[in-house]
Amino acid sequence: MALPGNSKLACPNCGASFPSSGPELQAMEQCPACWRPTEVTLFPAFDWPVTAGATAEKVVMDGEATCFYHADHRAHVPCDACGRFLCALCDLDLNGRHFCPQCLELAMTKNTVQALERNRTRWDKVIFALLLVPLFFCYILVPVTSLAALVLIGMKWKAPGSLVSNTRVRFIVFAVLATLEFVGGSFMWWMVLGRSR
Amino acid sequence: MLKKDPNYQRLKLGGAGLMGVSTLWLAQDHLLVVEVTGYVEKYRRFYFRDIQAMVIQSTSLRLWWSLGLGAMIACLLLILLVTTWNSPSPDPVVVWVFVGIMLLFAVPLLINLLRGPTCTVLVRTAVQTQKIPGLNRRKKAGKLMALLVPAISAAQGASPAPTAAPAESPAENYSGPAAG
Repeated sequence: MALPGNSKLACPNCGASFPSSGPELQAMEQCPACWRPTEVTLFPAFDWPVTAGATAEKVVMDGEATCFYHADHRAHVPCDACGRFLCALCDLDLNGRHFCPQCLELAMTKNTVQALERNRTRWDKVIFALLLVPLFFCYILVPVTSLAALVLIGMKWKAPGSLVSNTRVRFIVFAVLATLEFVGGSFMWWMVLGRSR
Repeated sequence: MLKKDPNYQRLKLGGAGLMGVSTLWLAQDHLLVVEVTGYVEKYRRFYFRDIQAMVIQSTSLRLWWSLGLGAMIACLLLILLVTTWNSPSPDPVVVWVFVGIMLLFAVPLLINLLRGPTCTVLVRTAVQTQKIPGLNRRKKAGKLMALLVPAISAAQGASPAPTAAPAESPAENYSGPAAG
């Protein structure tokens, strides 16, 4: 019932290690070091031993399909992205889908697989700041920043939006605001320059 | 957007933390935590079959907030009493201003007390232990556990650890020319 590998559950408050055995953990009502009330719920995966990585099988017969990356390894599965044959060593399983290392790296770089996506830039928030901040701190720059906001909206229109907010609707609202700011700011400049002449 | 995605169900359990706002989404095989910090939206997916343990630990955040807000109210009350003690007819405007400021602290204090005890929720997998951001009340943690425990137990069952090599391999049946 020991924790797999060298990892142990630790108290989030004091960092003290919790007991390593399952029954002790489940019976624990408080941290043994800082006495904070603590509840631990264990699941069957807690007791699963660490499984050794897959080993590739060697080619034994002529004419057998082989791994694209290892000519002497027997093909195990094709890559779901590029279709290349992979041995058990090169096969990277992602929620039932199989990828070769190259395709997985590409998917991580280009964010083509949602399960691998770890973050997105909220361009709507950047644009909002670009519209709002100069109004309070440097209003003379408003025509420039509103124009920059409009350009940014155009550039990021097709960029992946937020998963929780409607980025497109925000873009439309901000485009209207940016246009108003640009017209207002330009009028202000025109008035200032007109008076100085 | 996740709101329109039928695979995800929003759990109204998220909240605001020091670093940003977080929302929780329940999918068929995982819990997605979306945390918005500044200009970046971060995603963490906890797959039910990977979760080994969940830890809920009480924190003293509620106590400290209550003490801080209570101290502010007490200070304001003391100042109000001192300023009005010697005057035979205290200015009602001053009194109302003080009462208004006290309400600014009293309302959050009341909300803090009503929301119940605070806690930290940790999810433990084979490779990491992660705190669920924004989830810092016992009531919410209890609701999350009520949803997650059956889902995780169903996903993991009592089956042994998944074996490294799958039982069937599509390439084994391949009978075409040799590749590689």
